[in-house]
Amino acid sequence: MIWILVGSLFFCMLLSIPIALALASSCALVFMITYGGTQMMHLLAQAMITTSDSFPLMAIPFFMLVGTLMSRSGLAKEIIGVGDAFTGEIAGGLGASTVVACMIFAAISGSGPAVVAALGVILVPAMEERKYDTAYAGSLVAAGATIGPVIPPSIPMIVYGVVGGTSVVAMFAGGILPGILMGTCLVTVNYFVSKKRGYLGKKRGGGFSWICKVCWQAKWALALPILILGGIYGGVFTPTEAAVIGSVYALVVGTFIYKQLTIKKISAAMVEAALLSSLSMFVLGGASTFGRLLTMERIPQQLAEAMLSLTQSPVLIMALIIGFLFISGMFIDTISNIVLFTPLFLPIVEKVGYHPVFFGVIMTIILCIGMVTPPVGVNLYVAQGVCRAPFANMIREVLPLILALMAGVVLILIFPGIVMFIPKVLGLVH
Amino acid sequence: MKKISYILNHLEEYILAFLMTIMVTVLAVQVFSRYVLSFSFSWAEQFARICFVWLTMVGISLAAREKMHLKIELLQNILPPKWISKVNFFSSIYTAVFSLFLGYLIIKIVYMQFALSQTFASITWLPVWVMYAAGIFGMFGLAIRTFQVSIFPLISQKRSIKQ
Repeated sequence: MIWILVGSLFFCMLLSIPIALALASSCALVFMITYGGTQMMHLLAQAMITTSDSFPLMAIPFFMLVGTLMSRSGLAKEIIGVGDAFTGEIAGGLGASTVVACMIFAAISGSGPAVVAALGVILVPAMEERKYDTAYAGSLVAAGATIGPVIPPSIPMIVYGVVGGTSVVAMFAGGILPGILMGTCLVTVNYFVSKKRGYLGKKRGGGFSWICKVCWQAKWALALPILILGGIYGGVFTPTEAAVIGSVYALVVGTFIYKQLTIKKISAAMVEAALLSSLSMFVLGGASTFGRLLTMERIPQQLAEAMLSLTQSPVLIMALIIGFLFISGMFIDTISNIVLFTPLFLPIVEKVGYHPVFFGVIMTIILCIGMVTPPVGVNLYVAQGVCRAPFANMIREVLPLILALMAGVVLILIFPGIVMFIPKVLGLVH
Repeated sequence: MKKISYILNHLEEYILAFLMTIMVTVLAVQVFSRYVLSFSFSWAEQFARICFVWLTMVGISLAAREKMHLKIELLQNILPPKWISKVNFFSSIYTAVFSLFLGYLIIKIVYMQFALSQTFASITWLPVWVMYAAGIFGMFGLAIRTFQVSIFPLISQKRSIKQ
């Protein structure tokens, strides 16, 4: 039974049938063979619809909307200015600023490729002007954008929270420090690369008061994460409500303060947000019956027993799972990966003593690194579209950055407190 | 005539923008009234959820038109070009046929709900089939758009090559 389910799924996915339909077809096949009834087929069709009948998941289109509105409001320039004010002076300053800007943008938008597009069009030409290698500039933006879904708000974390039955609020809190750590790793590598190649920094415009002034200019962009996260952790909103309020804020700021949003741009932003959210929701719909079949057949327990009979070491099991997710992330997108593998791996890691929030954050990071690994790195393709360097050069330039991010993952595995500290302080986990 | 076909080709975008506007408005008013006026609407959350179901389904149809559905494009990188178009043709046909099948199942579900005349607990005048009907739009939309953008162009391309 399991082989029919998994075999037909892989067959369909290899033939590049949409993942949602591949999941649904493999369930349909199993229903036809083993349960022999149309009643089960109705459950399959029903699940495609009722998956969206969920308030927590409704945060997805609204966080997408915050991102699509903000990137149309012309805020990217101010955010880059803030990054430059802090790190512009050191060697490779503009590269470091790129990473910092990616981190700030990450706190506004929940998705990676959108960050690449919004920041890349400004930063890549600026880096080229300061004699940075084009492929390196594009790779740096692509790698920086992997932080996007790690620093809250985060679409993958919402999906993980719903699929794995974990608190989304705790997941968001767990992502903050790892996101900053990933940024630090990238800035470090960028520093050494720049020093070696002679990418110089730029003289700072002034002292502390000047930095404050630059931050004040970007206040409308910087206030948004404070509003969203402050609202969630102050107990004022649920994540979904925070996303709605964030959208209204972005609408008001973009229309009345930056005067960039028109009715046409707003409706385009809405359509884009809805479209992006339906891509994930469709996969979730197809996967919900798939997940139920796995549970009915006790597949996660069997897999857990098989793995535990191989080794009892938590570290080794975690390393195996991370290796698997890393490879899988090279071929399958983040959301599909989370939907497919959370029900399989979560019981195992819980059994060997890891917290679901810790695993969720690690999983998000690993899968996000998959967005810059060839052959199917979305961020890399979007960045290439912006910088137009040969793809082979980009792969060579992105490799040290991937290694830097992986070093961050190893640090988190050695010191789990990096993930768990903030959720514990806020009293979200025990 | 031209105008009608333009509207039909962009139908999903109008619906999505409309639904998004309604959802943002309803939920923003809900949050505002709960914290400022200490009053909340009992129907707001359920209503937004029905809109979200429609948003997802209409978005699925639009994603088919934009060829954006999440899939694995591993074979596309390995196979020779001649085979790629064959695989694409097969997967598009399969997508269209399977979504028609799902659409047919959903019609049956809607029909059953219609016969039961069940309504939502928090919106007592609204029958439940209104939510399920979104699935008919989504699945048939997915099939129609797949024919439009992925199957017909491949067929006409083949014809012109033969001629």
